Amino acid sequence: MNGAPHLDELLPKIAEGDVAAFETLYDLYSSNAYALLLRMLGDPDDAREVLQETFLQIWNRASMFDRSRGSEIAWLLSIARSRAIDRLRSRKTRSTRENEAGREVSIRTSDVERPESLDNAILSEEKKAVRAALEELPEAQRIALELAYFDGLSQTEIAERLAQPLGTIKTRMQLGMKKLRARLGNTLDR
Amino acid sequence: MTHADAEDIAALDAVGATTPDEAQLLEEHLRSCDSCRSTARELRNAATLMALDLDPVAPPPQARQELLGKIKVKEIARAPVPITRQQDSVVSRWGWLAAAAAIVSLLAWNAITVRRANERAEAQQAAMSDLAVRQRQMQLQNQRLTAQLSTLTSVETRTISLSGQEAAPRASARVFLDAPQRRAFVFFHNLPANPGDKSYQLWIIPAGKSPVSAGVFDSVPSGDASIVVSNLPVNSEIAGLAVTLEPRGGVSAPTGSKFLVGGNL
Repeated sequence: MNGAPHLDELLPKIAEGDVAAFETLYDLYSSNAYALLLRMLGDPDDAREVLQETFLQIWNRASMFDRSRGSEIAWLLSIARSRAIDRLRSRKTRSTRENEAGREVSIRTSDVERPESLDNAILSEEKKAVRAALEELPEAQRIALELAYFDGLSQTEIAERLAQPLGTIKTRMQLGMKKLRARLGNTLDR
Repeated sequence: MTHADAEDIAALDAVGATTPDEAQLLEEHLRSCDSCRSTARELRNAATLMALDLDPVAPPPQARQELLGKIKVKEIARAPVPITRQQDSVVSRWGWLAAAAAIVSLLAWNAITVRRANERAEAQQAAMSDLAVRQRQMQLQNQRLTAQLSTLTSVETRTISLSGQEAAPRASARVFLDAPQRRAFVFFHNLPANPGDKSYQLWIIPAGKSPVSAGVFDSVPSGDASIVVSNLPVNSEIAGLAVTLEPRGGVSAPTGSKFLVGGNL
């Protein structure tokens, strides 16, 4: 479709201070990161702030990326997720819900389309397989995984939330992740 | 630790659900086990696909500008300080040295002028880039609105009204079901703001079957909200829809009070 650079070409350039490479990275993946942050935080203002923190961290620490631990996009989104969990935890210590009145309505899903890029075209082709794999998971496994991944809940918190024994929750998450790995584990490396 | 134990913990680690002890045990094992390191990597990648399954949402254009502003401030701070001309009474006595100093000054001035021109060009380029991104976002927004309009006006679109229940008698909602596209647009009104630890959850109720979750959402004091539902379960007839208030993130089966109900229930 086009000659858009792959993420694994961008990170080394960003580590050397290449602003253009950083802008390309942002244009390619900010929509994925922002969707994740909206899903986790709900609040568009918080999502926007955490998005900036995420990309600033990538700018400052691109040289720290270790491909043996996961793909580049997995690293980028793990930073976003980790920052969002920090924000969720700091929310718990503040009683600021009243101050959130008037903020925009948040929605879980959106039909805004993915910006065009080579990587994203590949992801679009894989998307049906991803969605099918997620839909094939038993709902109990999927909910436990989503509460951990998107809501940042611990095993104990999930067990309490779902009123299930801790062992049951761990087993559900392990079975669910193993199924996803079997179906999708190599997807991001293709 | 066996490989199977490591895989179990790595599965939890992929979604950030390990205890500190488990995380440490896994880290130690992975240091010396290539096979499990590969397994853990695949699990992390698979977990990432949960995020990539979300439909992308373009962030506000200002976010990009602000971010690049922060980056460029750092770049300027990193840039070398321009060399300034030094006054030297001894050198000034020597004509050729004065000429050399003048040339150096001229070169320095030229360098500054070129640098300023480059900065202006970069700023213009950044502005053009921002405009291109905005244009793309407008195109996407246009596509999204066109899709919504197409659904709202299609003869195949089924409309269902939801009525407020005892928990929210003034609430209402209108659902536009686009079965061929397996999607629905739902617009809520006068829905009380949900507490921070709760989410509203939309349920699709197939005829003769248990409710199926269609997503969670938040409302605000103004009472308005909307949600786009994709992958509708259209294999069976939809008897109705309902909205309940549930623990944040949603549950597998409705447990909370019904706020809205509609359809042939």
